[in-house]
Amino acid sequence: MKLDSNEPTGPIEDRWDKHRFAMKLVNPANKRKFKVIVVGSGLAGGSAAATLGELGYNVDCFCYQDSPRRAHSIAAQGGINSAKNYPNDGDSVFRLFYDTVKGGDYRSRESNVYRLSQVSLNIIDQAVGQGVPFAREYGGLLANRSFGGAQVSRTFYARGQTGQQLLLGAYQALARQIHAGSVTMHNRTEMLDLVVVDGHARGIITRNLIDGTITRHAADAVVLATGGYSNVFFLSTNAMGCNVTAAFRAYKKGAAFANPCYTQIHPTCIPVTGDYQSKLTLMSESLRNDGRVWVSKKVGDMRPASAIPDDERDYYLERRYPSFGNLVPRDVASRNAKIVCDEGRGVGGGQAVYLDFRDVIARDGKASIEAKYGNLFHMYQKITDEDPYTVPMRIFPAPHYTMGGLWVDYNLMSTVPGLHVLGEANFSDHGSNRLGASALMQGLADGYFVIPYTLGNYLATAKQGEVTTDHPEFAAAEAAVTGRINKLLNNQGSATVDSYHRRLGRIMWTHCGMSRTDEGLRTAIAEIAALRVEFWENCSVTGSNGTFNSVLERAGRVADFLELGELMCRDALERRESCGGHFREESQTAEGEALRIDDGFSHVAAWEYTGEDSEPVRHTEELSFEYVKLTQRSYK
Amino acid sequence: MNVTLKVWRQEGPNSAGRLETYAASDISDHMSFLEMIDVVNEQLEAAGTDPIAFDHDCREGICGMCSMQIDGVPHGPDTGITTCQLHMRTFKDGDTITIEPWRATAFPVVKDLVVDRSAFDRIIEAGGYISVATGGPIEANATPINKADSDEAFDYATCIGCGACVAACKNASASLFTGAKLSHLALLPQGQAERYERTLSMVAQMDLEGFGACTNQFECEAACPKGISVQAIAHMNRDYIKASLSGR
Amino acid sequence: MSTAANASGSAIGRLLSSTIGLKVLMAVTGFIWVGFVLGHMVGNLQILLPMPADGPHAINKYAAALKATGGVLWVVRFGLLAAFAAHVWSAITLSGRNKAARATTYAVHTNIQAKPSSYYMLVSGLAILGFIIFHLAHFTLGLVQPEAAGHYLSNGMHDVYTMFILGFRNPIYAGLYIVSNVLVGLHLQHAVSSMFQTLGLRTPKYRAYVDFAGPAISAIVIVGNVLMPLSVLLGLIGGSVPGS
Repeated sequence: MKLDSNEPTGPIEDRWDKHRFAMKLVNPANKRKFKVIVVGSGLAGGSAAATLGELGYNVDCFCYQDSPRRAHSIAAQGGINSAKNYPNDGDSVFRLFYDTVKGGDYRSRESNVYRLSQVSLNIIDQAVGQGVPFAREYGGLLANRSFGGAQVSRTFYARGQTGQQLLLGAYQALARQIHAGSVTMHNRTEMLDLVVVDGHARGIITRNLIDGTITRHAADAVVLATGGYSNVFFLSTNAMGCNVTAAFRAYKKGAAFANPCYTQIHPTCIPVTGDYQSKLTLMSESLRNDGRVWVSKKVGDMRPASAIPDDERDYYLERRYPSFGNLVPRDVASRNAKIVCDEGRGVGGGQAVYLDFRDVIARDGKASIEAKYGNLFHMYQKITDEDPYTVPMRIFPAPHYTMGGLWVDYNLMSTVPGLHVLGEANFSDHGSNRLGASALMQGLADGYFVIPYTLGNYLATAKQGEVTTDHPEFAAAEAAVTGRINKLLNNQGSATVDSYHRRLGRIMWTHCGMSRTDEGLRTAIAEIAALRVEFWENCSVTGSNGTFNSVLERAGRVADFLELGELMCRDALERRESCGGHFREESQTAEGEALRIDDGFSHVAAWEYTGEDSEPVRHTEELSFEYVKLTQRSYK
Repeated sequence: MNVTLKVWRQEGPNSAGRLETYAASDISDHMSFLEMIDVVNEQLEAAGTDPIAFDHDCREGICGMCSMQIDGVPHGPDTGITTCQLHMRTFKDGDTITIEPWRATAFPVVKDLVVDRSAFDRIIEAGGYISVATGGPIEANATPINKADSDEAFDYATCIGCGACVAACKNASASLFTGAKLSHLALLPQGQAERYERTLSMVAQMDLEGFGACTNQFECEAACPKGISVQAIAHMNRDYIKASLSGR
Repeated sequence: MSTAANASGSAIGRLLSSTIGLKVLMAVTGFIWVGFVLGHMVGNLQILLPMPADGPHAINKYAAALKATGGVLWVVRFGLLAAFAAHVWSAITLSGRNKAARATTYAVHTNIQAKPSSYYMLVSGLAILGFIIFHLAHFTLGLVQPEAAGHYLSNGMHDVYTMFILGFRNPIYAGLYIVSNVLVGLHLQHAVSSMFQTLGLRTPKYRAYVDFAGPAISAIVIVGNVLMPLSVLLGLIGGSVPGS
């Protein structure tokens, strides 16, 4: 397998322009003859489907929710970065590019990140034009804030609901195209396989989640925008339905899976309270702008926060990172929370640290904090029944985002020609750690401003013949899907689907979570393999295929997670360095900070599926850095 | 705590439904309402029976997927939240809780507590957008927008499309949903060009879907997890009268 | 944007086929009737004025003045009738649509905050319809109590004062008027504020006034209209009229 990034060459600021000119165009009259499948309707999928529809392509868009408006992009709270430099505080396209490459711990492709930074300008214009109500100043112009430790204020936001507002903008653009007839929407429909004909992606097999109908869909190109795979941990900030199935089916059909071990553990989530817990709730990172993180200096301190005097509190982020303090990047904040909790200094000796607003309330007053974070404090209070104005919040890291994903080239095309991958589902822009407010930016950049160009180039140059759903590859794919569903349903086991998911999550969290070791990863690989065997022998899947069957849905997804988990551990095992969200205990500095090994690991690892009974093969794409100087990150 | 559930079970859109009784035992105060249902469902699954079908996804109150009428109130007794944010501490040991799907002819039952809300999508498709093609808009800061207008537009834009307004209304009216989107767009300069055509189209679609009329009881506002004001409906009505009388 | 709505019919036709249009019709006709109810009440409250030493009672002068307007009175009467008919028609049409919008009802329904009176608008409205027919038969046409209606003043004018007093001395009729006017009041409690909301006039600036107007007008209508039969029933007025 050859991994050609297809990056343009020359000065970085000219590459995208140069590439756009070099790409072939599709004659406007011919666009409607091309059928494009878009799977997923979040920021990336929704914006791509809408834009491709506007351009005149014949688009079919699929989502598992009951409406495209509910994709999990909707839950993003904090904001979206753009190098507009409205505050005149020193930002530029280059600085956003530089910060993103550095923040990603030098494991991303420079050309892609530079393009992301360039089109970040257009995204804000686009969203405002659609009526997205970003926060404004009294003068009527757009407001910005600093976010996630950035030294400039480049984050645009819509209270704590930026993802919602941007998604509704994309959803409304999509609705307009549905009304115009250029996009056909398939709600409550799940993609269960990719169909590859003559080496090109030519369609998908779907299951209607209401009545179980299996359908073949043929197309000239397939776009996956199916999000990330944090739900492999069972407990994560992802929605309950988020899954890796579409991406994993594509992987099994020849699309390389890049850097699966790069996962982002978000530092500020509400801690787990019991075994029944179904998901973890994120508290926006913006809270760290004003809240101070601390634990007791004593091990197993059972006193309530108010009874712990100031000189017995350890503001460990401020102590260890005097220049960034509480605003260190996510990976650093998360790992440090784990360290103090492992020492037994977590709240009440458990898995939580304090995020305390006492000092800022004393300084600025309760009203000021209420204006900034009122909705977040309200949400916290509803969930925990504690008042964060008087008692410090308890927080703990939780799986949140996955930087890894299907490998794509500069055109966002995977190793299967015709299969394009956007947003969180691809691996491309965040390296080994994503900066806050960059996910929304990437999803929309891919969907609004990259794929409309690169897909056209593919369609204009690929020149594949017509394929109908009668093709034997469709029949074979459908038979495989049906066979798998029947196998799950005929599995007269006794343990529930969730019980396997929970056990997988525990293995992943323990061995492939915030800190990883050679030994732990090997253990995990063995345990997952055993769990997978048990799942296929003893899982109970009730009901039938012909009805709305949430158990069957989840069983199929967990089956894929059981394979993905192993792939993540293999990738983590092979990457014997620490970088970004991937911390290998064997590779750390004397002070316990992550130690990157550029000589040997400055590459993308992309895994090729080789069959049920053989191990996947690891390929590499070397990363070259012409514009950003590699340094060990320091937030001291 | 232990509670008794009376849950609406219905095989499919055309089958008859009935309330079935389930016991939920050893429920923790800290559980969310949906986690309590998860516990009951996992027991049903382990026994090889069909679990209670219900819609849910983000479980943090923003996707708008969850939709339960709990003891006669959309999203249950607590205010300003969705079903997934309701916690069991709101209930007492020994309570009997009745759970029904949203009831509206425009929201047919799919199964058990799951309903089909695609009527909402069709209302948006009828005009709930500003017609700008990708790449078309002008520079974002070229049009200053009064902060008060922008903030008010935001209040309406927070709608999550859950359908609680329809569920709470004695007439199953979609006025708050439709009015919220119309008001959001009508308050912004970008939304002016299509303002009146949009109002006529969306209202026509709302009627076509078979939602009832607004009778100004404001139960929708009280049930709305995002607290969207019925001011949206007044706004919609005003624009609708203007649009109708202007004869466009 | 292409729309089904734009394609069909005249502006008024479209307005009257939509739920909002029907609500607007209801609000406008309701507004007319609120005005009438208040005017009617104020005019009739003159019954409480003392009997003058000489000449006809104020209410009889008022009645004569109304009669003297001739054609105008009939225009107003037909206008009121048309408004009433439109009000009832829109109510019944909407009620049918509203019922169809929720074909299956809830096993458990809990009211969150709505005024109880708002749930019974159709019922109170139909009761008021019955009351108005009775009222017309009673006092305008004189069919119910011919013995009360058949009194004339020396100048040949209809003795409204005597009809009024004799009509309300009957506890059954007085009770009916009292109950009916409480119903009218309850109907208006929801109706008046609702009317402004339907017309889009319940804006943040005026919301407090609008929300106050409903209960306030409701209270005024109940107090004013109940005061009249009650005063007669308790013998506070009408001592000069003999008989029962």
